[in-house]
Amino acid sequence: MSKWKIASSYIIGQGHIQKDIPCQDRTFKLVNKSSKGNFYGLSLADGAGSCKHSDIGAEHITKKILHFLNSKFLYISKKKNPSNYILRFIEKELKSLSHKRNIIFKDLSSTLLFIAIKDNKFIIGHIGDGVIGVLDKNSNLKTLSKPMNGEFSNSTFFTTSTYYKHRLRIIKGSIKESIGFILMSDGTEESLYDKQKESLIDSNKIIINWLNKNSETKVEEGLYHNLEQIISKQTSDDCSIGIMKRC
Amino acid sequence: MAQNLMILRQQDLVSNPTTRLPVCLCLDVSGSMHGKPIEELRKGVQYFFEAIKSDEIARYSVELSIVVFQSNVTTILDFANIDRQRIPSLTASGLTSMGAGVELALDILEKRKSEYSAKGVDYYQPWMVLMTDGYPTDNTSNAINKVNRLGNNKKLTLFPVAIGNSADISILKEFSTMNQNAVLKVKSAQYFKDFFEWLSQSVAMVSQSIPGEKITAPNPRDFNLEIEL
Repeated sequence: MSKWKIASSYIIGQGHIQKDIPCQDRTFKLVNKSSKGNFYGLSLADGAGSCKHSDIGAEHITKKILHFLNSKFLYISKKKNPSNYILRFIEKELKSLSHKRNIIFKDLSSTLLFIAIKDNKFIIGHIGDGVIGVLDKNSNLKTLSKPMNGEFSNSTFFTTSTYYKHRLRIIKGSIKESIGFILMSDGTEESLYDKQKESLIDSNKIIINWLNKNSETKVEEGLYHNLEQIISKQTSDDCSIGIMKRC
Repeated sequence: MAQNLMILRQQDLVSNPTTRLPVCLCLDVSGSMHGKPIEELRKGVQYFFEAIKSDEIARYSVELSIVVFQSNVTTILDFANIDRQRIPSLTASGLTSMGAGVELALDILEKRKSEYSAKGVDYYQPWMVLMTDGYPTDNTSNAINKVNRLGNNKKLTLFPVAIGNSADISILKEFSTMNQNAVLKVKSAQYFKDFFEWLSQSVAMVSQSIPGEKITAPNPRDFNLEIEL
């Protein structure tokens, strides 16, 4: 059974600092080693700009979705179309948080991207903008899930967009030749995703392969520095990134 | 310290095109605008262009075009990089073909959006500014229907602007996509600069917006503009 290394980071954007808005990007990772098979999860969320508690929504849902996938992995991986099942969980979680913290449901809006791996199977989910990519053993990097935007740049789908029933894109499959995955928010997308070609640029391979010879802790520190000093210079938005590498 | 943690350089990144905000000024240059109004309008437009050019973000994001209507309708300035654009002179004469003017403005906005899509350029919801001092002399129903359809689907923002007291407020309200079908009113030609200052600040805010952000434009009343509800 394969083992995976995971690293992620996020940083506040200049636009948020100027407007006195908190960082609304969040990432989370979860590893659960058990005799029934190891679970590896990585999630990322970008809170909606105008929602004043979207940072809380993003933080909550990144954690909850991975715990949910960990406990329901087998069921979801076998279910023919699990989108509605997962969406119901997301809505229930955010409504419960809204009630508990006395926050308006819509104020918890965020995008959501996740990868869960167990027993050489993966489940990938995507709501809203941001990109998910996969690296195979022949060093081919492919875009698995493109940004799900509305027509206009400042419009996208969120976890709370209950009106849009098909806002969650789910991809399931076997790991086979895949050796790495990458998730990024739209802020990072500006630097690492070629919008005209709809493809991830080669620098993403370097980032994923960084986990080959370095500890997760060191790579996380490095991701933060690269977000801070290079990637965030190309956008006013928050930036976040998450990577997984088979080892 | 963190030098050994840097694996990316600026040149390793992709340079995606700046997200564009297409704005079309649809201007009444009929006979009633002759004299001081048309001169002041041109100065106002000139001011608007300069204001956009002086904004570090808006200058790379906002793209401008101008459609004028009189007896005929003409695109006197098509979308292009603002640094390459020169504002043409405005001459007032003839009738007020407002309906045809708005339809031409819609056409060029639609064409620009298609060009963005084909080149993988992201864009914001287009803006149209409709300015008139009078009553339309052609049929406006088709243009109003198109604008309302786009407005209802949040695909267009149209600001109707009445110049002075003789503009047809009721028809401008039908074109409006603003809250409560509001119409902005510039009291007289000397206030054009204030209007364009408000407009430049508003488009600059959109050009810096992020997904999910609610844009609150500056209050028009702070710019000597009246709001007709």
